[in-house]
Amino acid sequence: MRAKAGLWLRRALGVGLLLGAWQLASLHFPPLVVPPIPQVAATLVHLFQEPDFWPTVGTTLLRLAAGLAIGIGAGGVLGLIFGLCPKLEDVGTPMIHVLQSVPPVCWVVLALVWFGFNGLPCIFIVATATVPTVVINLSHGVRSVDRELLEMAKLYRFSHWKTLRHVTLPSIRPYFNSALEIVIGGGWKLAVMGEVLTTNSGIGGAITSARLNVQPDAIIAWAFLLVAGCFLTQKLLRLLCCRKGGAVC
Amino acid sequence: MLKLTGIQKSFDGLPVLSNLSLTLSQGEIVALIGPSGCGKTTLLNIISELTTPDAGTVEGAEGKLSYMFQNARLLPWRTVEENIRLVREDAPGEEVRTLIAAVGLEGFEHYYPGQLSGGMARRCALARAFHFGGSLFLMDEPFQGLDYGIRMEMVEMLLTMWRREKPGVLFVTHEIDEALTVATRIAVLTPRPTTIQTWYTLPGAEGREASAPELLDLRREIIRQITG
Repeated sequence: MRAKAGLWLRRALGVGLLLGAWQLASLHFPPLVVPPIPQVAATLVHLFQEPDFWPTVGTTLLRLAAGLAIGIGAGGVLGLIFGLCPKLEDVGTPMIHVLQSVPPVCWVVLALVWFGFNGLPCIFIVATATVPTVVINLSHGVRSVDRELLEMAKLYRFSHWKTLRHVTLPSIRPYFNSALEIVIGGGWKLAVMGEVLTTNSGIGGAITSARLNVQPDAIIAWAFLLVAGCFLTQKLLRLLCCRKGGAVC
Repeated sequence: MLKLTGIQKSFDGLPVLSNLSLTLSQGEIVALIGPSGCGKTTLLNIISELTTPDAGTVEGAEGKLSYMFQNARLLPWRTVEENIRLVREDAPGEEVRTLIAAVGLEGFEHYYPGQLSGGMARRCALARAFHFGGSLFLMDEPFQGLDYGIRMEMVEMLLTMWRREKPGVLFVTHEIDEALTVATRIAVLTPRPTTIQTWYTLPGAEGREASAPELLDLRREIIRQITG
């Protein structure tokens, strides 16, 4: 209990330092460069009251969810296959390297040509960034499954499906969870960046219009909401993924 | 029922098993005693087809066999009851609960392996092996590292369960007392490259007292053999 109180105290100190630095900066720079905290807070409240606030957030969330679902689905299947069959991994490695090293802005431009200004490029870049992280984590996870448990499964005549379900998949759960945490964090940023560059809807669209109307306070307010969104989705994920017995978390 | 003939196995040029032959009949408990690192686990792995021998044949191990490893090898994300049930899912739940009671884990059915002590985890593994069943049981130092009281308790549990179906049991140990208590025959192994040095047939029924006077000479003889 005491340790927990200490933890929260240290975290509060971190937030306080950040806010203090911001307040100091806002005293020295004009509000157009560094808007003061109360102004941003007021804008934040105002944003919530706007009728198109939830549709805007919902649009981004949908794109993020679609990109993550495609990326996690494809990456999950490929990661399992690569982990179980190293020869196929050799074939797939160049593709993973390409996905990993081509910068998202290149994908955005290409996706604009392929899909147009309809939000699909945004989904596309989230998916392309998600696939390699999931594949690499899962294939490593599959290869590090405890050999002794696999031998046990073989001796007790587990079918391939039963071994996958009861031994392999639970073993790679920590790898999957850490991949999820990474791709969700990255996904939020990429989804909004994709929106800024390719659409005028969603949170990215709102940030673009704030930029055009020279409203740095609105941009910071949206940034706050993004941090909160990312934090909440990761918390939710941890809540869903933690299991009783403390075996896998 | 189980017949090994001329088994040879080397690892990276190091000969481990050399021309090892043995037979095991249904209802027999054969204890293998030998120095550590002499290839006892390798032998069990060959019988269970986890390892292939360089030469020699294994007959009679094609059917269902249970293997109790040196460590419990339970699935950490499944409870005691689920770990046991998983190896034979079509069995009635009552059977699993009876086994759990037989190994003294009543009340711990819903515990995860991480919440059990080493001895409890091995008792769970013992119940799992018996739940799977089969006519041949391989046991690789199943009670190693447990304190004397628990070990003897587990030996008693093993015998209780063995008496129900009377499978053939191949029991690897380096505890002479354990072997003297449970075995119908004892094979003393040579150091590497390993083969069987001497066979002993034990008098009376299994479950005997290891310190019984009629076993003292035998005990002394086995110690002499092992220490060379």
